[in-house]
Amino acid sequence: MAKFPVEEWQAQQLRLTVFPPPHANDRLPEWWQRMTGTEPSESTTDRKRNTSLVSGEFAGGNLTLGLAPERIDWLLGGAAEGSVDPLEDIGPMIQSVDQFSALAEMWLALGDIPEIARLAFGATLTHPEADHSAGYLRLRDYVPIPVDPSWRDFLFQVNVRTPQTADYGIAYLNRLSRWSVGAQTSSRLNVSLHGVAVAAVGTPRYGLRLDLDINTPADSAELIPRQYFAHLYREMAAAGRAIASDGVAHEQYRLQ
Amino acid sequence: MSNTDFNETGLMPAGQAIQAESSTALPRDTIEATQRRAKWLAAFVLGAAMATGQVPSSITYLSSRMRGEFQAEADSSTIAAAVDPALLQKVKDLFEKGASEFFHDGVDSNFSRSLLTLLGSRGADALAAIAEYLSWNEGHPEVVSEALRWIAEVGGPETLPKRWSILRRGLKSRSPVVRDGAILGFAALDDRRAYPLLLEARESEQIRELRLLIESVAARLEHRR
Repeated sequence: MAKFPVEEWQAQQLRLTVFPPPHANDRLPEWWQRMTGTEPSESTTDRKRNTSLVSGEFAGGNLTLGLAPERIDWLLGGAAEGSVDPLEDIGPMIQSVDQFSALAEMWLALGDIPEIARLAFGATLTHPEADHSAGYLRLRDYVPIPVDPSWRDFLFQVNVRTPQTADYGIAYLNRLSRWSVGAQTSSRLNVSLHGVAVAAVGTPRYGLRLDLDINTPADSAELIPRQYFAHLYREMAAAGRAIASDGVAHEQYRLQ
Repeated sequence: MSNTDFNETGLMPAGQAIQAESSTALPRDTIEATQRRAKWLAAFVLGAAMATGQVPSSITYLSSRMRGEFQAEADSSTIAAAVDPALLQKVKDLFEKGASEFFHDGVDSNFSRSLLTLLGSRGADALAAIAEYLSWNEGHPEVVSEALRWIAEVGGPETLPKRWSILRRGLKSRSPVVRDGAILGFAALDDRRAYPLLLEARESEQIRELRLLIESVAARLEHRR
């Protein structure tokens, strides 16, 4: 089985995470509205934990801004308002990442976001496969292991660091990828006087699944220079796309 | 992958991140933190002892580390993991058990040993569980105060934001005992970026002794500016 064109990946979730240094306290729920130009459908604050969540529709999916003392997350998921399928895809990866990145870069250019000690781009991507065997055979083209279709519960995770990112004042980029094959099943819940019955509906939908987490080092003592926020994000998104395209079976990723 | 090549039982060489499951070495950050803590607390405890005419015996600390619990997320992962309910229960039990102890400044206790073991073995996950537990406001003030002092000590830059957030919350506690622990925690962190935070806390502090403590810590941090 050959690799498929990168355009065939579907995005299930996209994420931008920034970790401000401990003394940088700016957390503005209104960022959501400023970035989207629309009212959020939901906004909650937990005063005890000092966290906030703002969410609403964006680009055909559900965009959430999460504010916490240690981190700020922008999450784009597929399940738009009213959807009954929480694992719904946002859409094709290329277009979804472009839409998400436009927002991410615009936000990273704002003057009132805090300093950043660590930056991350995350994505969950899926590719539909005919069945379990097809998914496992597909893995062989993307990970450096001769996966056997009779195997079950296979999971491959690796962090292949990039060595040269000195321009941004950081030592390296973590390129964490996790590969697996998933099966999504639908169930019907029947509630009656006799109890609750759960029955599977239809056949499972199989898919190759890739979880990406491209990020700067956790132990870096230096702040990322503000003028590089967007550049660095772009580089991370590009690194994610390269892994989605080539996998980690390519010679440069070959395990020693 | 087998880990049998690392059966050392001594201290790990500097910078070596891999530790065998059979190792009994303390995590390096715990060792360094203990040394820093000893210096900081020695200054405060000695000051207090001189004021009362009592000089404490030397401060000692011994601990060991538990390994082998499966870590689901990679070290480089940035996913916001949910608090592990089992770990949260462990933290709750630990804090409740600690309420029966009497703590001495700068001296370890069953509570502190258990806390450090937990932080050493579960790191950021343990801090997340502790933060969650503290948000319930159920902890005994003496135990929470003791925890804040130790939490400040253990961990590297990757857990600093979480530890900072826990201490910051402690500074705003209704309990003066907890605030005292948070101030000493910031003293132990020894990070000049806490200076404005301490000045802010001093403005709202009603208890004279705590104001003086804040001033002494802030003055020390200011000299590091």
